[in-house]
Amino acid sequence: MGEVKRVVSNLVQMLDSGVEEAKSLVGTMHELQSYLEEESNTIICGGLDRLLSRVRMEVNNLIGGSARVLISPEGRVTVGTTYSDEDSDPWLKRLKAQDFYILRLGGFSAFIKSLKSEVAARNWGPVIEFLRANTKFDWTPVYSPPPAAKESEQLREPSTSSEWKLSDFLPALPPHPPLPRGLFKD
Amino acid sequence: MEAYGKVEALNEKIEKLKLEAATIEGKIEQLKKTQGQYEARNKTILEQFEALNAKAIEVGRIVGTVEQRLKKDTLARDILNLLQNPTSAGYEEYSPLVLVLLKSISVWANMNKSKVSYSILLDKNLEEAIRYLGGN
Repeated sequence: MGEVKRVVSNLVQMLDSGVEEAKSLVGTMHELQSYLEEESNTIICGGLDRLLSRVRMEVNNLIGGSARVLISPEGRVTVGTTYSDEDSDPWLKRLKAQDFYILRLGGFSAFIKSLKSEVAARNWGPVIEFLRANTKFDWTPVYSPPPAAKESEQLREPSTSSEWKLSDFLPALPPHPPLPRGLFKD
Repeated sequence: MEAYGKVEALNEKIEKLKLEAATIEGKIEQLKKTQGQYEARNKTILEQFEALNAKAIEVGRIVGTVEQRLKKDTLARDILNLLQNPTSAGYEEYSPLVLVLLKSISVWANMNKSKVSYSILLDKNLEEAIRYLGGN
């Protein structure tokens, strides 16, 4: 009788200590998980913030015309100026035909915000690729030529890279609606 | 006389039987007592097993919760895999983790620059690596 009680008591004690150990280990694992998740988000969002502030600074430095943020099909961001309406500017029309996205600063800011929501959803891949495409964000603005000279402007060929496409997470333009979630990879 | 003798024999038998009955009754009492003791012991053992069973169910529930939680902690498992078996770590899914590691190493190297050779070069290269991985 006493033997049964002793064995059962030992078993219960063993189970209790195993449970406590498992809880402690899983707690540590979870802490690591939370840290990695938060830190990844912080780093990536920090990159997006820095890119936005650099673009903003670039736009503020422009004199005359109306600033546009241009995003190439590979996700490369540059800043340009238009002196006429976006739909009538042949330079911008040509860029659009080459799958460039043309945004005002507010639109670009909303785009960055939508990327942050993707980061929060742990859809990091496309955002990291976007940041990588802008590792060397050009501090020298890509000014569009004045209206008279625009016709002769030649644009570089868009990339045919198929690794990821900006259009995968950029909405139709204009206006710039919230980023459609379904366009991101799961 | 013969009849008296028969009665005497019968009386003797009755006495003997009475004695046997008393012995049997004593044995029955003893058995009843033992049965009661065993029943009490069995009850206690059963209670112990019930307690053990309840504990096993509780442990099973906790194990289930722990497993569920661990299943969700994919990054923690990924970083272990990255450290243990980096050749199996794909670029896309591991680059956020590599970024976090590089950031930490960069801070660590910066904090210990007096002890690290070529600390400026290391810092520059780490920053560049971080930038190229998207943490610009």
